[in-house]
Amino acid sequence: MIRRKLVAAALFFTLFGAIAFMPPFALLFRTNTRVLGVPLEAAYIFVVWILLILGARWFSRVLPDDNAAPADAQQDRSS
Amino acid sequence: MTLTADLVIATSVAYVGLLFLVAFLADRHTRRRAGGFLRSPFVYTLSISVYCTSWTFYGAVGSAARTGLEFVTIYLGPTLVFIGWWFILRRLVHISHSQRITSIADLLSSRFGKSGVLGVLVTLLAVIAIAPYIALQLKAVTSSIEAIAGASEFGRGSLEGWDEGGLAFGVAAGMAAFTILFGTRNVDANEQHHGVVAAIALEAVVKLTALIAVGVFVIYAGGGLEGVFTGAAAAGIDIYDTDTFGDRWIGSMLLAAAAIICLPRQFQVTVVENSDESHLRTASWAFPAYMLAMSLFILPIALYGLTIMPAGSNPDMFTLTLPLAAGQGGLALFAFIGGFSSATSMIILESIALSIMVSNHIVVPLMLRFGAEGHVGSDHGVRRLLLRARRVSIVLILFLGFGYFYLTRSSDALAPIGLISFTGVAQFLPAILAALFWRDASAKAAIAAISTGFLVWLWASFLPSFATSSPSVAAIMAEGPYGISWLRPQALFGLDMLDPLAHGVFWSLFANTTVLILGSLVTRQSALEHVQAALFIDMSGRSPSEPGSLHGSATTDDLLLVARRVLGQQRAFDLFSEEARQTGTAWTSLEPTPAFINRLERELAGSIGAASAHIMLSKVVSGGEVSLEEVMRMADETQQVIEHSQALERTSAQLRATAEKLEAANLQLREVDRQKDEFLSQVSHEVRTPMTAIRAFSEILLSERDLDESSVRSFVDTIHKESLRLTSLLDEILDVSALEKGDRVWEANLFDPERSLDQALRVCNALALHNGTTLQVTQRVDSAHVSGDADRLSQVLINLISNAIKYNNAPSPTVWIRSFIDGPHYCVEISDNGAGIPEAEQPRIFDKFYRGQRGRATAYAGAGLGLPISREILARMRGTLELVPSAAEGACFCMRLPLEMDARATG
Repeated sequence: MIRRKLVAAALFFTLFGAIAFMPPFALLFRTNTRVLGVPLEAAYIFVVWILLILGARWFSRVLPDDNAAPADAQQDRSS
Repeated sequence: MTLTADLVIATSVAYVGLLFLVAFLADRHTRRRAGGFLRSPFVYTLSISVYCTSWTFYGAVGSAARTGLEFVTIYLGPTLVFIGWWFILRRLVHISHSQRITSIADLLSSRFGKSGVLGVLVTLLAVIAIAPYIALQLKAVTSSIEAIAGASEFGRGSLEGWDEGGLAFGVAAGMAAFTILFGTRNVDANEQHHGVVAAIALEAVVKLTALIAVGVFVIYAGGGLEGVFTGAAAAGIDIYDTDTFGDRWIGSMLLAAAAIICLPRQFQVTVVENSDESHLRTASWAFPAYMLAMSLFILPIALYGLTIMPAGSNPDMFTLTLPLAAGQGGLALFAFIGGFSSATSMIILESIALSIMVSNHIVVPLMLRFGAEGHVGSDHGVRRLLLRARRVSIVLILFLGFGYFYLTRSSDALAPIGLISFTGVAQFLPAILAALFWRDASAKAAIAAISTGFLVWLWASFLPSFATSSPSVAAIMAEGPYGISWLRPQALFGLDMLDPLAHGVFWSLFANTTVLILGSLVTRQSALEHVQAALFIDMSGRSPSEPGSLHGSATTDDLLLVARRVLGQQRAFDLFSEEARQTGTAWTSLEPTPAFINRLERELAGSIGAASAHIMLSKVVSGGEVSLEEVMRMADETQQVIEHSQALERTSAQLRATAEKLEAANLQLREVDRQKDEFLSQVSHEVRTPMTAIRAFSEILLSERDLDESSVRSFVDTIHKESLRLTSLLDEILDVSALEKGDRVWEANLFDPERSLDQALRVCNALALHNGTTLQVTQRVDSAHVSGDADRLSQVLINLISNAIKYNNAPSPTVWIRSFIDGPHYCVEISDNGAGIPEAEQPRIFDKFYRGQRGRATAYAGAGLGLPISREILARMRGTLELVPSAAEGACFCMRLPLEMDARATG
């Protein structure tokens, strides 16, 4: 994937994460059911949370290195 | 193991001692430049988890017990911000590194033109907004000690005689002393505190382990995860009682997302203490994972506590009281240390961050303004003043927190207090986002917006928290001030269907953002603001010559003096030696270049903030804050951009014009092409008629052998006449095309047109006689001078006169000819008393091959080229030929030629 698409993907990943945590989407899971005793909505929130962390881990590796940026900062600090 | 209050206090003190040792060792470690492990991304992530305070440790359980799942929003907001690190945090860290930002007040002040006012405002508001948060920590620590003391069979031990307020005061005082020892031992370069960060990281591990330990204990005691949940359900505790995904859910998620950016301590650990921008990469997933681990057992602990603890026990303390109730003294002590860790780490970092803001944005500017020269006279003057100011502000901040705690001590829950603070600091969010993304946001608008948001916050969120302790506040809450009901703090403008938290968040952020946007649209930025905005927005673009820097003259001695006061002897010396080495000059003859002054300013900004560093240096560097040349140069750059865009515009306009011309030319070409085709077909037609006749007669002559002499003669005569016609037609065509192409060389002599007219009259007299037409010359000019070809003019006149004769079918045909001078023109008018030219035909008579009705009817039918040729000839001589309305019924042609006024004209 090219850099621009990756960055866009990271943005939409975050936005969809936000949507998943918010009503009305989260309301879909507010049914009176339990998974291993845990209410479905709680289980849902935690599962999405875990997926977001895994996704973020992937993105943290593939998002491009801002070559100019660290170099600048390094120079600033050493100056 | 029996827990007593004394044991708990002794353990806390010992734990603090351990932290101090860790901090000390870490500082020494990094000072030896061997900071490897301490600068790892994981230590960075652990230090960010200072976000999880005793609010998380105790309050989240209480919140889960009261409102179910809602507590997770406090962690989901930051999770989203970290997952989207690329878009906000990365920019924030990068800009702060390159601009040597030391705090959130410094960030906003620096972006909005190094505005001192904004720095003061943000600092003051942050101190006020954080007070409830510090109160929360005090309350949590006090309550936890109380909980242990209350459960202990040995009573309160040495706490005998201390009430809750006294205990909180003691805790606050202890924390203040501890923080001063920890955080203000020196003024660090860049405000990085490696020792403190190491201690915070250790505390992060301790609090997480403690909470997980309690969680595992609860799961074990409750009979597994399912057991805990079903047990709670059996006891009638239903998490579906609360409206989970309502306005509070969205409101607190938004607040938490704002808080992770705006809280002074989060800014300190995430941005200021960041030693490598790539660490953010790891933190982007590791910090959410840490928060997930912290939240995992909250719900089970809360439900289990609700199930087995007696009614009325404080759910905020379940983490501690559950192990206590089960007789697990060791676990309870561990839990206490966990809670203590989370409170101390928050208090230490928050007060360090706030004290930096207070000293850099309030104390130093005051010192500079009132010129405390005596104070700063000594080498370490500024540094000592800074440290002293920081110590005083730490004490002040903690006791503000204590004051808030004291005034609101009767309200019991922890989480709502924290949310009040979150709403307060969230007022910085619009300005921060504008600083990062909106070039036109102006300082005036930012100041107005933050003030507005804060006033709404004070009214709608902060004030109501005193309702339990103050009857007058309670009255305002119920009736509104002076009975104005639409100003009720929790129902502004009558909006009372929202939860109070969501209500406060909505109105304060709405007012804040609106003022920021409208204000920025109507106000103008100062020059420095403009430059700073560009620096912040184009984060990768390096500024070509560091605009906004001080330009002017300063002696090296002055600069060294300032540097030594702020940075200390050694660092100042290093900085100047480095410059001397780079420029290759001796120390004594070092000339401070603008670049060096700029570097020094940033170096100073790392210690005392951008605005103060700017003021301080501008006192030494003569030449004003922004020199004239700098303004000129900035104007120049702007001008260049404008010129460039104008040039682009011009080029595109030219292209457009060229395209239009091309189109017009193309149209013309097509028209000419069409005319050419028409001309060709007319020529062919004209040539065909005589050719047909010639062919027919010659065929007859060839095939018929026995024709009589007279017939043969008549045929040959016809063939001869048709050949003549053909020749004259071809001559005319050649003539037209030559005239139109204009490639024939024209003789331009001065001559007398009257001679040409004489010649034309001579030629035409014969024709007139033959036709029985009277030629009447009514007026003549004696002599005139025109330039051109005399023979050609005769040709034109012959053509006109012979036309008038040939097409005149009146009973007594007459042609009138007159020549006269009309202003600068020599004119000849030829009119007749014939039928004239019908109006419909008039526009076409000068077209090639056009012959009017009349022309076709007569025997003298020409090719229809006479008039076009005449007109063309006159045009070559800069004259005109027109059909003019005549007095008589016939046609009247008028030709005009410009007179040559040249005296050389001799005829």
